[in-house]
Amino acid sequence: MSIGFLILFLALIPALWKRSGLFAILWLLGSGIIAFEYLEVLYSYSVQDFLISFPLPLGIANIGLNKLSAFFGTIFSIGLPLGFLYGHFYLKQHQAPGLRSHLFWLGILGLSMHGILWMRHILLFLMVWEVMSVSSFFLVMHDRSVSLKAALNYIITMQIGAGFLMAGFGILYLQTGSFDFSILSAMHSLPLYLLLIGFGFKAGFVPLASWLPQAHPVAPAHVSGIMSALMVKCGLYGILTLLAMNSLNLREIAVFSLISIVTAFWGVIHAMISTNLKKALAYSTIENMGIIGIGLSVGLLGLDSGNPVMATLCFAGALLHSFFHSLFKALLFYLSGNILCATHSLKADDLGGLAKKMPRTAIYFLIGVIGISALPLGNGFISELAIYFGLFNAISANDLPALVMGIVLLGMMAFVGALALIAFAKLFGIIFLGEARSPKADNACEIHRGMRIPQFALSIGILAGGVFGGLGLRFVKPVLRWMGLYMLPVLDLQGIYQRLSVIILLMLLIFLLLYLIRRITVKTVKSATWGCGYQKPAARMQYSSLAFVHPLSYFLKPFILLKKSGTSAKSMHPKEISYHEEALDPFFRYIVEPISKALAWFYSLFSHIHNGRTNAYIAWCLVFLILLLIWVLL
Amino acid sequence: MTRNPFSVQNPDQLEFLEFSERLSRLIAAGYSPLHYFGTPQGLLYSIMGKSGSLELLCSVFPTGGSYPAFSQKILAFTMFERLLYEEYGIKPEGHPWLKAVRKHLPGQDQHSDYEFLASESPALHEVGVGPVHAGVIEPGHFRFICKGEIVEHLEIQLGYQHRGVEELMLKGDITRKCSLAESIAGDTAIGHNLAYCLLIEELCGIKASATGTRNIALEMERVAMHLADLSALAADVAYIMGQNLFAALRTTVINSSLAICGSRFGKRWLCPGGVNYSISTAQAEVLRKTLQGVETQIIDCAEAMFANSSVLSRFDDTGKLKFEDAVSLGLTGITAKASGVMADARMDYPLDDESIFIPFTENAGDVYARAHLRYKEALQSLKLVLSELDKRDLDDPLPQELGKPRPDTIACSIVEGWRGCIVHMAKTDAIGKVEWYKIVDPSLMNWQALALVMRGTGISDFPICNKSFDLSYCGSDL
Amino acid sequence: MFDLIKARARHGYQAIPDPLTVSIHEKFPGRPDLSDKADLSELNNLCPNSAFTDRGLDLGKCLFCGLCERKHPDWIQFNPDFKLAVDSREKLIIAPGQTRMPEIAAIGNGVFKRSFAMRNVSAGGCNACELELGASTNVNFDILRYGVEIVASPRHADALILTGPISKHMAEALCDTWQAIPKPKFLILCGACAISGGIFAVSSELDRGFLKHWQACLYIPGCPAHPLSIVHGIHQLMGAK
Repeated sequence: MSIGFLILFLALIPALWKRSGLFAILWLLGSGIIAFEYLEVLYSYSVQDFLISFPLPLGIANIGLNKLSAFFGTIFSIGLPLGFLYGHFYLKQHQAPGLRSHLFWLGILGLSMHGILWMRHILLFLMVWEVMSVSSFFLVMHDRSVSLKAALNYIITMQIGAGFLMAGFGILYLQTGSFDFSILSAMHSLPLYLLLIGFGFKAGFVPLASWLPQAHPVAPAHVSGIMSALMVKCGLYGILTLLAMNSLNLREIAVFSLISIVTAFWGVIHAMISTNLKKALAYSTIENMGIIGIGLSVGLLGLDSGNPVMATLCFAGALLHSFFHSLFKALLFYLSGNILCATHSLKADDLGGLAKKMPRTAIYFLIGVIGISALPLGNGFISELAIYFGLFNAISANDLPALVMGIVLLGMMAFVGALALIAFAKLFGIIFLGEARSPKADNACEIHRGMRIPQFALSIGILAGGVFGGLGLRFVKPVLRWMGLYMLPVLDLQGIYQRLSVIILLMLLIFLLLYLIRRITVKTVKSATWGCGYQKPAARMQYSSLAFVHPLSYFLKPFILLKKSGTSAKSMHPKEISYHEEALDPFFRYIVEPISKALAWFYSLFSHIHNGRTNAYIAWCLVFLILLLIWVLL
Repeated sequence: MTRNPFSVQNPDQLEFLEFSERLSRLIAAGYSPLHYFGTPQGLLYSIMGKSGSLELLCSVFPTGGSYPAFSQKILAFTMFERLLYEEYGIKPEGHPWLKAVRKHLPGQDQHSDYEFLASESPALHEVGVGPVHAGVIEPGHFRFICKGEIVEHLEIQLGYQHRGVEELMLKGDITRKCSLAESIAGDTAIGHNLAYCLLIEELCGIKASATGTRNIALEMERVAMHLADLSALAADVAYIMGQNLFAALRTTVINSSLAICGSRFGKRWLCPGGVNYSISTAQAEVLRKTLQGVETQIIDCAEAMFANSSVLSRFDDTGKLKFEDAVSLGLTGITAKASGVMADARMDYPLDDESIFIPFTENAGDVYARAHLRYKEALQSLKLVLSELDKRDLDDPLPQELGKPRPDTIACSIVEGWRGCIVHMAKTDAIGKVEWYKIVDPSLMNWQALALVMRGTGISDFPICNKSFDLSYCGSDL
Repeated sequence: MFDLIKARARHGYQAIPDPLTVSIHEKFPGRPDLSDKADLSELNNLCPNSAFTDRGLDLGKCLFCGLCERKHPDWIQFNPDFKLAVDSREKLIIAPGQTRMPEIAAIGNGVFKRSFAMRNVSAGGCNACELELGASTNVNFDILRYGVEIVASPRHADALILTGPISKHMAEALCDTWQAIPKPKFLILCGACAISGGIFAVSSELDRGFLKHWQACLYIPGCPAHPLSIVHGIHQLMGAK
């Protein structure tokens, strides 16, 4: 383990010398070594546990791995080097100042993400957590012209989250007097809620996720990918650690499931109506976190109501989904980087016809869409299937709360899944199919081969996970066993996945055969698309993003805050027709913004103190000293 | 009340300024243009009508090739001024929608150079349909600007069927152009042919025989086409019963036409001077029985259809045309009458002095109103045919001899076709040869109504809105 | 609902049992009997579309207006025989003394015996042929019983059925539609305007170049072509039983 981490630390040196290629290669190497060791911890009885003695007040700190950490560690070791590799090629295309510090903070972020998994001591954990937040803040700020406001919003939100964590940990310390992670088991409700909220900020649960759709779109593609695919999993790791060591009562589980449903629903409908590709992907991350939350809440319900099968299936699904999500979300974000490089636009309504211009990007995007919409052949199908099986089990159980929750969650999850499919069908269709809607898309061409390497790897991962569901399950089994869950349903699930693999492979084979036969025997003739005989077709004569979702968004009106503007045809002979709509984030608009405005107003009351004149500040210091003196004397 | 058809010898050629002033006064008095056009001889004509009285004005082309548009005063001039600009390059300054009608504008090269109103917003998309449409239907291009499924704006480009009918009328003997007149719009063969025959008879100064049979032909065409429209409307809302019943009833009606003249569309029936095929007593008896049976069945089926809730939910409130728009655009026929406009050439410009005709109207102006009005008009026409069969003398005489067209005469005939008001005008020169022949099919103006009513409607309601107007592409294109 | 049932009951059975052998009203101008004694040039002067040649009456130009029959009933008589369709342009010329129309050769070696899809292009006609073509699918004539349907997309079609004289503005759209139909494809001309330009043949606004490149396999005369002529013609073309 130490060799791997040593290599990762050494990678900071080429980072400071702007050698991003070497940086990426060192990360690949180091992560490979670490991954082996993580897997060893996962599958064997080998233990990585160190006690290091730090000076007070830290005391003796426990640094080590448990199966859960190893699980997430493997996910990080897969995702981070691919992201850095992509970043190397991406940054070559998008030259911006501050490459040195950007690479440095990338390295720090990677290290801190691994570090969080190792720290079993509260203060060390918080320190590494802060390092992670700060490093990601600098990464988001790479292109200052667009990202300043979003990045500041991000870091402030993260600090508020960290504040909740500190409050929770603080209460625990006051109660137990220890900094060790063992105090996390069997907590009282108050610190538990505070900690869950603190981790919820990072994981992206509604209403704490306003930062996500603002920060992820403005960050460079590789940073967005890493943050969306991997960093939110840190929050998830925290939540899972807490859930593994505590049991929630029925009311708490219901609240958790409610939050998860709202998160999933919220994420997906905003993903559906977003026209900016990265914004849609960011909202989709929120949706996926919601789905994981649904899985977790039903699993907890299973544990609470004594239905172990349900618990196992849902936890398996939730864990699988966290792994698979890291693959397809990263892929989609990297592809959005491709598109940005080629067309300089992320607005779907500017693009179109990119499948002809960028065929490989299109294929990878399609694979990513198959994964994220949980279509068979993609890995999302495997993980969501496990959650669905758990939900079916809930419905067939004799327990009334389980039945009610099962039905509601089943319906909502199916609805969310359908909307996700609509959202991504829309994105794929508008961006890649049809004709170019603007000169930006017209002039696109396929990007550098290097950028496609990590995308190729991720695509293979998605397809492999989708076709061979058993592999994913094997990866998750040790964690389930560690959580003390009943393992028999896993065997059943394994059997189902095996049969599924066979069916999928068979169908692929048949399809391939038919395709080859047709390719050889039938001569295809290509001719222009049938256009009703009109002689001057224009690119405007095809669907826009709004057109695709408009009929559905009509039903979702109560849930979306829309800002509309435009002119419609009033007179017999109108001169102009326009329409523009934008979805606003109500949490941001009605909670965060008023508070910031109020704070700004409050601080402005003191503006005459803050007037920038040194002699005034000295005068204030003097006043303060005099007051202090008076107080001491009294 | 002006006679219909009417003729004028050598009308005064005014200066354009005086022409413009008199036209403005007529507009202010509530007159609406039946036609407004230029001729190759460099003259402008306008025939203005208001509830029975017609005014014909003539002027030379304005100097400088442009003038302040009359469309700014009433929108009913828009199509005519566009045609004038397209044909002769005379620019109406301040015209709200100066685009090509049948071919292309003076500055453009081809028909396909037509520029549609477009939106800059990326959220709005366009849907372009045609010219080759999905069904067996004439060609035209419809460009929608859509916000999702709702239509923000519809623009219609026609001209695909332009065959140069007005030029073909001038080739050869004007009195032998029945076949051409019938082919202006084949579904309005009798309407246009009757207008043509009346015009020729007026030019030659004779009165035709067999006016009763001609009325029967016109009204039977009206019944047949209204049944066709009801059948098509029922088909579009998946009311298969109505589709098949009305289609079969239409076959019965047009087969009755075939039994008299040999053509289901009434082609070859009328000719200048009278009719080619008269209705004998025996034929009259068969016709009466057939039409009485048709009448009962129409009532049965239409009452069932208009009581059906799924039909009503599609028809009601869809494609509403406001009364003010119908009046300001100068629309005629079912399009206008369904919005409450009381205008029908059988009432305003009757062909004979004895008949008093009161047209039916509806007020809602939506698809239901137009469909229901067709039902009522079909029954009204059937009653007219049956009463005509009762009062007519047996066996019409042969068509009257025509003679030669009078020289230096402008004649105008107006017929209420089943779509609306048809106007034919022609002028003979000093030796009696026709100088120009002008045709207005009601569809020329009425297409604007379709563009107007689609705003704010779902695009999936376009077929029933289109069918509820059922306008002629070729009648507009000539 | 009961009023609907009553309407349906009163309506009765409307389908023509066999549209190939039904007899049409005697007034219908179908296949003409041209007498040997007829003066073809005199008839040609009379004809509004100059449809008489020195070999006989060209049904492709004939508008069936009946003027020749009314003026010279002993020279020419139109029979109520609606089976007018032929498979080549020359066969449309009715010679004096000719008593029947030639047979139509079936296409496709029996492949189209039970199914034939047509795409209609209306290229500048007066709408009468389009209405008659539409009527051939209605409850009375029901061409669908032979497996013939009129499809919306040219990609689904076997044949293009042209109505109208091909105006200039429709020429390119017609070509595009023809190109969009996959092989094997056939061209059917329905109505006098499609076959010869009809009454519009002398117009300067037509562009009939399309027909110079592509040969039609079925010509259905008439102005407009009667639905029974259309049904009969296509039925024979398909080689259906």
